Amino acid sequence: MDVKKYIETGIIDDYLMGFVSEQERQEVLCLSKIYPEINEVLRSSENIMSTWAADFSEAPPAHLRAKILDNLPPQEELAEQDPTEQSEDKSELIDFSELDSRKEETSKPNYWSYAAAIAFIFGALMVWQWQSARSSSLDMKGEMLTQQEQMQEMQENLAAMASDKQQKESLLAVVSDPAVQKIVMAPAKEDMNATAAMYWNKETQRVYFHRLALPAEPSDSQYQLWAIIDGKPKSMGMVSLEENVAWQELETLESAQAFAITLEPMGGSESPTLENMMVIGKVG
Amino acid sequence: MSNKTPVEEEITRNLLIGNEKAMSLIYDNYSAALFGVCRKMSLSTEDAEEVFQEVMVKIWKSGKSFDPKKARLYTWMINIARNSCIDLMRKNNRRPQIQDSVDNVYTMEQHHNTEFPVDHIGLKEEIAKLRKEDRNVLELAYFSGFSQGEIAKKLNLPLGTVKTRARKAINELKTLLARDIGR
Repeated sequence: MDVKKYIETGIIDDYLMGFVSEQERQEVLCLSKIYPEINEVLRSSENIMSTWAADFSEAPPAHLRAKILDNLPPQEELAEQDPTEQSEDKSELIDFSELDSRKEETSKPNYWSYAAAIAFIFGALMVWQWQSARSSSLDMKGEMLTQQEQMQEMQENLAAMASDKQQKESLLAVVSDPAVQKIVMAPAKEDMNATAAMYWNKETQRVYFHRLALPAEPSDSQYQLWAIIDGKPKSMGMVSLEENVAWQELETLESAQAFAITLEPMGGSESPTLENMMVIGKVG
Repeated sequence: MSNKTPVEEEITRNLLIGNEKAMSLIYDNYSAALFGVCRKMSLSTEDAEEVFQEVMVKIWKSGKSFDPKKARLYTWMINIARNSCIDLMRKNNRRPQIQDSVDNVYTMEQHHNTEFPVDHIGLKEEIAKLRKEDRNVLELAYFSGFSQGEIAKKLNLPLGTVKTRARKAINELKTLLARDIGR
């Protein structure tokens, strides 16, 4: 997205004057969270307008001073909520490059650990077989039975691991494609602990979602994926509620400037509920 | 934000630790600006007084969540005042009358008797340089929450002219006030 062009349209001033539609209002709020340049222009315009507001200064009636200051509610009743839109802006843009490299470092040993685990099981199997061959043949039959059961269990484990490995390998092929861009989505609010990522192949336009660390959904809600295209949110579908699905291939996408995830009622919403935004990430 | 005055810093410090001193400092330095917004945005004196008290309590209550890195204290408080007034207008389904802003510009001095932390020497003259027509539209949009269409209807102007005038006024304000704000 051309941020400079967007600012030059004058939409930020229109937003401050209330000359925008609900969709445009959300757009300005959303984009100011994604682009620091837009945020800066918004803040600076707000400062201008508030300075101008001082032009209408008028001293309040004298009796109000004591009335207000002597009747402030006690501190324990303090609400943490802020009544201005400004303070809702808790998102902080993260350094994607740093996150990316950190992630790569951890993902490689993870892959090798599967190979190590398989080798360990083979090793253990051989030791176990060697030991059992040495054991006396008195209860050979019973032991063989147990052995067979255990071997079967191990084979099942191996098969599960192999399938997991295969899945990881095919994903590795997807994500290691140089045409694929990784977009890390960081928490939308400071006190949140959530991360997710999108993998987007701009050549094939295929998009993959990776649920890295999203908190469990409340029972009546579901996470919804959004692509921000020229300031407008487009639903990319719902995050699967199945426990073992960490990866999802989504519908293809031609262009987008950012991805975000919001918590929505089961089945999703037409437009994102901004105050329930979990994570957001800018396409670099 | 740059250009923070010492009093703004002192208020912020006290506000964040929940010291009531913050509120007396806010009152002594900003009550005229905040009450001015309430007056400008409310129909009656009673409404303005009521909403002003509400604004002061809101500032106190949400003081701990104020983030000086994200907004200027003064702008944050003005936003609270504006939002509270808009809420009241919606609740009462009332809007302030369209008034001639020139009166306000020239009565400002008599009301503006508290020490204002931003350097506003010459602000009155600067704002008086704005074309009355442009300023009128901006006031209606910013203080009364009228939509572009409503303003066009009230002033009997084409829709596009309303936007052009308001934008012109904002751009001039930006040029005039930039040095006060020290961007």
